[in-house]
Amino acid sequence: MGIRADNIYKIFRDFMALDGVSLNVGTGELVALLGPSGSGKTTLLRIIAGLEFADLGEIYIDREEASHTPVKERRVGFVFQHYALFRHMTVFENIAFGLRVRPKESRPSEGEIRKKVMKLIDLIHLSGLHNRYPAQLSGGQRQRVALARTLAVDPKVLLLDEPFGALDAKVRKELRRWLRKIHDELNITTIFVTHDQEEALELADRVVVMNSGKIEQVGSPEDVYHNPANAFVYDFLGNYNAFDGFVGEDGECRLLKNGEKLPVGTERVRLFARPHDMEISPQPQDKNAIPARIIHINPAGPMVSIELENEQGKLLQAAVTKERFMELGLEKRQTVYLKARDMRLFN
Amino acid sequence: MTDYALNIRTNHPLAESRSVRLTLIGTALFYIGVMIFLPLIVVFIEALRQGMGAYIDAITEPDAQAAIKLTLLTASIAVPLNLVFGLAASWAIAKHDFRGKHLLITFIDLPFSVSPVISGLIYVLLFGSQAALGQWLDSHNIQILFAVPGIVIATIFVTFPFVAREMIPLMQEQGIEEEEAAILLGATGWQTFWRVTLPNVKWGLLYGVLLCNARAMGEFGAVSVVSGHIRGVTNTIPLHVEILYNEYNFVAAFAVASLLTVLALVTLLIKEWLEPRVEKE
Repeated sequence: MGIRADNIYKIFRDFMALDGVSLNVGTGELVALLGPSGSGKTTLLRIIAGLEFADLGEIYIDREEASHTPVKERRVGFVFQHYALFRHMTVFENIAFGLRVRPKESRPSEGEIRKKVMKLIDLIHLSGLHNRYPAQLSGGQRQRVALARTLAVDPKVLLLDEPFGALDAKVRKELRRWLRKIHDELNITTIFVTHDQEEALELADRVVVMNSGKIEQVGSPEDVYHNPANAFVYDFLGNYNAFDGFVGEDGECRLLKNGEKLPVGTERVRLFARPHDMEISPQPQDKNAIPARIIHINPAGPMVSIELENEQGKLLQAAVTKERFMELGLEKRQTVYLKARDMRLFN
Repeated sequence: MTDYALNIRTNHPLAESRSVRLTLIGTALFYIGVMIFLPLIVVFIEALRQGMGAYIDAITEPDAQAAIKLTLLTASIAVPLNLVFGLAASWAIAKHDFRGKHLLITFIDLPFSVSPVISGLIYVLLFGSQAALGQWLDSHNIQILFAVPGIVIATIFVTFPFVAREMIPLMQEQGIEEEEAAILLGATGWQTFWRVTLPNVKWGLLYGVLLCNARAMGEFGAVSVVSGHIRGVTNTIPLHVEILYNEYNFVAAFAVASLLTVLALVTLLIKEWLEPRVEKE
């Protein structure tokens, strides 16, 4: 049961939320909509759900044109960032809601409802808590109830709007893994919205990077990370250093050193390098090495991250392994030389 | 209470010196005593000045009984109507977006900003014999002014904002995500309203109804203008109190007034009980 969005436009007053977005999500796929706030990712998700209407363009769910299908008939599961659990109902009643509101002909019996709800409570590891109210649960538990409530009505597709955004880092990781597991078990087509690149890269089969109402790139996590289509994607997926440079006659990118003039016949370009692609050395590696002073060292984490300042006072970032850090014996206020192993150029 | 206020809070970082606190607390207590407690006690003292017998006579006398019945009748029509209207209006305003929303909010507030006497007068001008509508009603033998319908209409107008004013902020604060979730799960609009929206605001609704009822039973100005003060026919409790007082029948006046005072005290008690529940919503 795939989802297709065809050339969707949405304008709120004078703000272009979606500017001709097209997207194809295959059956059973887990896709992340990744972008900064205001990029239109939540609007796109809400249009697919039917909570908003596109000004132009069509939505197909399971190959059927669904743009005018009322929300309640779309059979779309939706999980909100702030859970939106029914506050006056117990966990059990929350999950049973979608079954109880069905018209008499298709409503399961009380026994069937009970069986299904209890099975879902098991699935979300909340056995024994079915009589609790949402206010008596932790954030992670609430979000699991919200997911179970959605799964109770056997949705054709699952849409999650920043599902882990309101949770702390540890619970977020745990729920991420758990969502992946549920998705693999049920094999339900899933789209989730996030502004956290790590979450998108770790969880999704495919990542859709969005910016100001447009899709910048669609690809596998590996693809968008290692082959970003443009400067925005590169920027959004991680920290970077930017340098002025030029493309030499041999086609190689070169940095423009402090005060150096642009060689005749070349054009000034911006070159980008990730912190972990920066090489640090106490002595200049070659004549292109950039001298910089260490202003901060953060050894907490898998890599040691180092902040430096070049001669113009511009902030540069580098990351080295613990071993390399010890080997170099780096210290704050020390002057070192930087060289980029890998640089990117975007037109 | 003063001991608590004076001793426990001494070490509080924001605490003032002892003399400042004594002066402030003393002033507040004096003010509340003179302005609130004294009149409250006077009502009961005056009502019982000639003993329990006179008190009961004043309340059970036919005109007083008629006034009580009319007040109860008026409230029992005005409050449910304003409950339905208030709920519908706040639901529309808090959960939906439409053109003219702000205008509607302004209109709901109108009865609060207009003097009750003026609101009464509006109905006199509207339904009076010199107005076209009044003449038409007259020719069809329908009497609005100086009769029960007029009193009910004036009361509805004056108490119109209470429920909506209580519900709009509460519903707005709760947002529409729960309703969206309900509809995504396949609920109809009607099911969503009864199963999600209404249970979420039930205490707030009761609170609004309580305030609405207190005002409906105690309203004087607007009702006074449209009632015509016909003894035993178009007098509500507040109007009856005024008549008795003007006739220098102080014991009876205060006896009937004590009924409204008791109503006020009961309202306050229920309000105290309701408030934490509304807060939780």
